[in-house]
Amino acid sequence: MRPGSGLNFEYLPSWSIPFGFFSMAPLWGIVAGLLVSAAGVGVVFGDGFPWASRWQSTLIAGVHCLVLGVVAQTMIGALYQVLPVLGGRLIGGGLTGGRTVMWLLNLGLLCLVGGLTTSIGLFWVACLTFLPVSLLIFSISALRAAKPESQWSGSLLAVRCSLLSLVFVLLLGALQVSGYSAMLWPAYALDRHLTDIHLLWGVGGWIGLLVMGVSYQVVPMFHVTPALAAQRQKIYPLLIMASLLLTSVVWWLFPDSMLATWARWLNVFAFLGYVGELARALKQRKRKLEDASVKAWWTGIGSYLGFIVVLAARDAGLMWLWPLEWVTHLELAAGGMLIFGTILAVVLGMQLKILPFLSYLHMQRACGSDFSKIKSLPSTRDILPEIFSLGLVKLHWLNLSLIILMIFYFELAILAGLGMLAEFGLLAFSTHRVLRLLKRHI
Amino acid sequence: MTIATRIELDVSALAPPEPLDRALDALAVLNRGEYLAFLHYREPFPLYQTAAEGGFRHRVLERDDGKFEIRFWYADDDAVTAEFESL
Repeated sequence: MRPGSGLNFEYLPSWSIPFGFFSMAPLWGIVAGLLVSAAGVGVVFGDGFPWASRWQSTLIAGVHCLVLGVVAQTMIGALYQVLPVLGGRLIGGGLTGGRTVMWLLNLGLLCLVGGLTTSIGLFWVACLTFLPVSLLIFSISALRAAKPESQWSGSLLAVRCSLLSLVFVLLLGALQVSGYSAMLWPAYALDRHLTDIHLLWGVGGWIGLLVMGVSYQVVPMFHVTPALAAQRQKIYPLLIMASLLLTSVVWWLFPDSMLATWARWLNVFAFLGYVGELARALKQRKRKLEDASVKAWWTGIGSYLGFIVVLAARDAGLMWLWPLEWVTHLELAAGGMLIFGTILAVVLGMQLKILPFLSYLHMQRACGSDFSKIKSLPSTRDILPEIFSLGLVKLHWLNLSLIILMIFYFELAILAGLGMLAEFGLLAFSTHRVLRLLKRHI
Repeated sequence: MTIATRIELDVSALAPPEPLDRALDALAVLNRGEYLAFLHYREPFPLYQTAAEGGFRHRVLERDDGKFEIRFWYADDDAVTAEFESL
């Protein structure tokens, strides 16, 4: 650890741990695309309305493919690389530990999707084994590594809060899977208020805080922006944890009340403060070059604002300003803006920088002190050409539009699913290309 | 009085890994009797090990303008070493 820097580059994990997760993540985007397309085909042939409510199993399966398969998997891979830099400790378990977490996560998710789409009981039992074991091994090992050597940084604090949220999300998720499999008390486990709290902590706590913690480092570094003041970096995660706790208590004790609505808005505004800081930093970039990753960050920011508008319209609907069907549509549109428009966009933005930089870093380490060998390495632009990155961001824009439209025009689900296949197919191809280059140079 | 010749490299507006690239270019042509003053808003940690293995020493200074100034010179360049050790 360099005194006063708060960063430590002495410990780097094996490249195959983060890249293992990065390679698997796009495949789940492809599965989500297939589910969406299949639902669209079902609509055309008169086989029901897949998005009639947020409780339909196809929708839940698709959302988990995206949030657990793509987002969580990418961020877990990134944490294996980032946490040692922030805290000066490798996540325990080494290569075997990393691979165990990855395979159990993917098997567990496969069983979850299998259970949701087929209702076969064995899938639920297997899911209840694989997913908790994977995520508990990861969260406990990562929590042990997420401790500062000297003083807390905003990044480390946000990551630690995020990992604690993951444990809570996992417990609530496992309880609900038990409900589906009738292993516990279904009526209790499938209480929709509990599902709302699971969603709140999953999106706001685990993913939201993790994105925040990592962004404190990657935005100033990759986009050459001023860093957020150290004190403010620490305030946001604490504020958000407090608002998540308060909201959960209110939702549990006073569900469907006006107080519950206000509690939700408390979280929305807590994140809005951070989003405002992020936008200000991106506006102050030192070199305003065209950059696909920056476009992805702006997409996330714009979608978050869109999410707020749609959520406000939905809440106005709850006050009987318009029909219940509209309220359901607005609820789903808000979810689409938040999950696909905001979270997936910023994770994509990070990936577009992290993938080429990490591979370059590992290649450079493998060259030792041979300057000429280092100079012969491909540049980050060669490792992940900007044309691929821009293509991914543009496909993301198209798919976000199609996802919002398909909520109102169900048939468009076929196109939205195909668009997702194209986007995540291109991401899988780009990741594989980076991995091939990396293997060639180490 | 300064004996060593200063070669300045300001990479504070560049994103990684460009600063590393530029530093390696500069170190490759650095002569004895010269030192590279590398200016950036963050410390180039991945560079330290590579530079050390390449036979360079470094010293980190924090400037009033918020930038770090990292000075690299040949480890066997006794004159420059003596000058910087006296700082």
